[in-house]
Amino acid sequence: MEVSRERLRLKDDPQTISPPMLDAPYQCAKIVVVRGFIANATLDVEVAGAVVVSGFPGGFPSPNGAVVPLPSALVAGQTVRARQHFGGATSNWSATLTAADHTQEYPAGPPRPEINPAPVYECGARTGVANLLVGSEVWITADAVQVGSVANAAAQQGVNVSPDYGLGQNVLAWAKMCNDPSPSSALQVSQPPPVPLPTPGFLPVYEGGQQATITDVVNGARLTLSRNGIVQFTFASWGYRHTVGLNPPYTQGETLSCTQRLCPGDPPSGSGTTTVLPCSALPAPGVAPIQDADTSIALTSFVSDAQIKVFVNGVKRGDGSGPVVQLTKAVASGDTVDVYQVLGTCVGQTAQELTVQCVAPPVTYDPSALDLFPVGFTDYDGGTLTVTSGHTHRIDGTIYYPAEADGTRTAFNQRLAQLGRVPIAVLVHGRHGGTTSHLGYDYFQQQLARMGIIAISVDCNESDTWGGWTDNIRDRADIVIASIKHMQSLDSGGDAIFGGRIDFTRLALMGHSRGGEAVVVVPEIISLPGVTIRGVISLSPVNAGASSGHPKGYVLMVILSASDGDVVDNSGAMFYDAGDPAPFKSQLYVHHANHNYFNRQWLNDDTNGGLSIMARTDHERILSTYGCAFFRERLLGHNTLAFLEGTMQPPGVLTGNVHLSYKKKNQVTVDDHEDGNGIAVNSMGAPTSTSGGLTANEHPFAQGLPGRFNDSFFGNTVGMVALAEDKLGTFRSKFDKDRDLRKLEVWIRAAEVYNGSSVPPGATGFLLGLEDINGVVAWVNSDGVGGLPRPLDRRAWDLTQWYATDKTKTMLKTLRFPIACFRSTRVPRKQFNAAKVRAVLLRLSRADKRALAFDDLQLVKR
Amino acid sequence: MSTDSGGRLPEPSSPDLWNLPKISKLQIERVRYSKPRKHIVGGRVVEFYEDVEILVQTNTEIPIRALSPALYIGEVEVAENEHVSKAHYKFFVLDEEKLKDGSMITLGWAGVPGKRAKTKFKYKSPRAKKKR
Repeated sequence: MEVSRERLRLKDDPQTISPPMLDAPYQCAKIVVVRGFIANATLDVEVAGAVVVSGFPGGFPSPNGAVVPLPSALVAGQTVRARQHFGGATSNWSATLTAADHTQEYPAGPPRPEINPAPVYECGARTGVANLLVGSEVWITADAVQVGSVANAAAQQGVNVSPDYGLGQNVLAWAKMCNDPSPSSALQVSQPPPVPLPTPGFLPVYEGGQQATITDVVNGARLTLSRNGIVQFTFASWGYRHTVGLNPPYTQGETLSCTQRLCPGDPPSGSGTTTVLPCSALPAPGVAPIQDADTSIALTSFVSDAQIKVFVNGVKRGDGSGPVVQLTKAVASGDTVDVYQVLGTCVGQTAQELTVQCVAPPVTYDPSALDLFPVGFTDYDGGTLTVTSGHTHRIDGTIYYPAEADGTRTAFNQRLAQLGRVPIAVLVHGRHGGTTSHLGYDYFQQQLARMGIIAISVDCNESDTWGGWTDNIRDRADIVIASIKHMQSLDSGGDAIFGGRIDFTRLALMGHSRGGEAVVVVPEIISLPGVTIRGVISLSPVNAGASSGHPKGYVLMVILSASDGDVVDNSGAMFYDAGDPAPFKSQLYVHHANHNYFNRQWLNDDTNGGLSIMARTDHERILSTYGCAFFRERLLGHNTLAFLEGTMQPPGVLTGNVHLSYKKKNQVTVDDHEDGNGIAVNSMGAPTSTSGGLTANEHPFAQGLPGRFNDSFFGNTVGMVALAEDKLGTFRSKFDKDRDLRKLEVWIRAAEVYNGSSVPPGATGFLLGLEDINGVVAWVNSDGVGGLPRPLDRRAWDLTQWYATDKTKTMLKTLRFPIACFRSTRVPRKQFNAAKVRAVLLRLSRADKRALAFDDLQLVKR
Repeated sequence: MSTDSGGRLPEPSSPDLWNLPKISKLQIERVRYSKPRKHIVGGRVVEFYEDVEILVQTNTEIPIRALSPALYIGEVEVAENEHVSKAHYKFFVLDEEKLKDGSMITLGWAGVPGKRAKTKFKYKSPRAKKKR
């Protein structure tokens, strides 16, 4: 919420300025990249305990930080940190980072450079290269001739090109770190320039500022910037946007204008112009949600050269620049944070004010973006197989794999192969008809291959025409197993690409629709020697009963489309509910997702426009990011579980539509309602009780079973439904003994119960309380941990369908309550004692008489 | 320069997944197999040496989709099937004991009870063939 800064009466302490941040340093780098400092601050850099750079003029912190030269190259193990000086104040040192030997993190060589943005154009004079290790050397070739290079590159580096690109040239970027070469980038062929060139635009420019960001820039163009009609300078840009600095600071009413040009013989673009806005127009920056214990804030919008000031409960805690400002002290849930921006003498008149949540997971990195290797492609053909039903099916499909170069049947990546065998992911489609369903996950296969996983997609198209139900699922599982067997024969039979390359003890499966059930069947029937299935993604699966119904022995991730127009029962919820955490299990219930859009060959919306559906690209982003996080953890041992637990969020994903359930093995279960001991006793064997007019009982969370609360539950478990008449309605579950929760979190699956007729306006929620041995209860509101999931209303559409039954569901998600959020506020003299807790309480405090569903109340190790 | 104001291109045609054809012919027969036929029952492969097969001819093709068509004999679902040829389907009765003579036979979708139109077809158990 944007509020008047003056009303807040914030006192600016000029001695409080934020420590800056460093990009990850690597051995051999002769630079460090420093970010987050105040524009025009000076910087010190310390290496191995000695200040090696002092008073370096930082210039502007955005967009690329300060590239600070070092007197000598970094050595692995050296510690590095930085600080800033501004206005007579000196910040604390930044967090200390340790210079890494890149071969530890990237044993197969530095990551593959990316020409970004692409494409490049004829006459282009500058190219952006991304995915670089800081301090690497980067160069560009056009038709195999070097046309530009930069030593000591930043993570995204602009490279000036000379001569300009010709038309149709083969452009590649290359990099090396410590003389260790990366693979080349993907090939870009220089394109004819756009005609006409677009007129550049500007982001708003404010009085007091010194930077201007020009938009609509064509990749490689030369731009000419004028101030009040007087040409200032010409510069080349890698395109999209370009930020430049000017001096002196702007005054209100000044004009900036810009044109761009590519080929000398072609006309320049039109002239884009902007007028400097008055200080009074300077808005408050946008701030991402903040959670308990955060030590920085992330900005979602800010002026590039603005000084960002942060106050917590009225006390200054940060002073730096966007997009991330370090704080001098961690925040706590419930704190009030005010943020405003300053441009020279212009102080923003409004501040962004927000309350620190208990849980508000940060948006971090894209787990699907790990780009290490070129990608090879080939088909496979393993002959025919007579499947269980007696039909005969060809064993074929597509393979994407880490290669020496992009292309069809290119050689397997040698450096990766030298490190040992490579894991394999096996994908299988559902029944859609046609002949190309197996091609629909090519985007996902390519992402897996470029991070070092062989990704095959099994062709089951012919089986689509056979009919069959449960039998067809088994047939698909047979075809998958035969494909794995064929891959084993390539591996053991000296195949030119895959001979000796595949590690079948690191195998994972992903199946969609009927394929989503087949991948639950495969682990139960596979008998191939040497195969260990580490994980299974079951995407919008059917459940025809082809499996035992009890996934076990592998890690399961189920993705359910709330707006599925085909598998309208979201049958995969039964797999999640019945599955063992081995050592964890995960479910994504995705609002506004349909059945088809995860597969690029399935073009139609299965709801025929009847339900509100995300764009196809948003479906793909969900499978890409969460699927890659899953496969990376399962097959490569990467630390990407946080995305599945919900402690981190991937960028560029509609995470508000993704409702996560997650369960770990070997945690303390307070109540999972599976014991058959009634509502009065929990899974610890301890008593429960109700008060304040609350009623609660255990019910099957499943279709058609006697005792179910209503028909909105589609899983395969037993849970609790509670309903309260007034704000004090409370359910108390006693522990079996007093427990020390200081290193634990309380997790519970919960949802607003769909009432069977309508979804009322406005969300509801509950309080979760912990009661210590002195009877002190500390409460946390479900709104502060991400909120209670609401039913996705699909009633009106469902009732017009052939089945004419409301499929709006009560679908629970896992809410995490960190212990640090439980603080006693009403009884200050009796502080809540997290070391000795005797009960957990659920209070339905909203007085809206809505039923809430709960399950899997656990105490979970952090 | 003129300005185009054309509308959006149409979405790819999207058949009604739930559209079920009418049964035009139906035949119930008991079939003995020289080589046992395998079906999946309760997650396991079960060999059948004899099945009751219900041959169905429909007026159009049944849509190909994730869910399977099913015959409902009264309220008993018979979902296992085989697409024999255009608009010809064979449904396999895997638990004959549940079926009652005289029950109406309708076409629906597996696992999704819905509006099943009345038909003229009723179940009558075929007599067991004499062993040769």
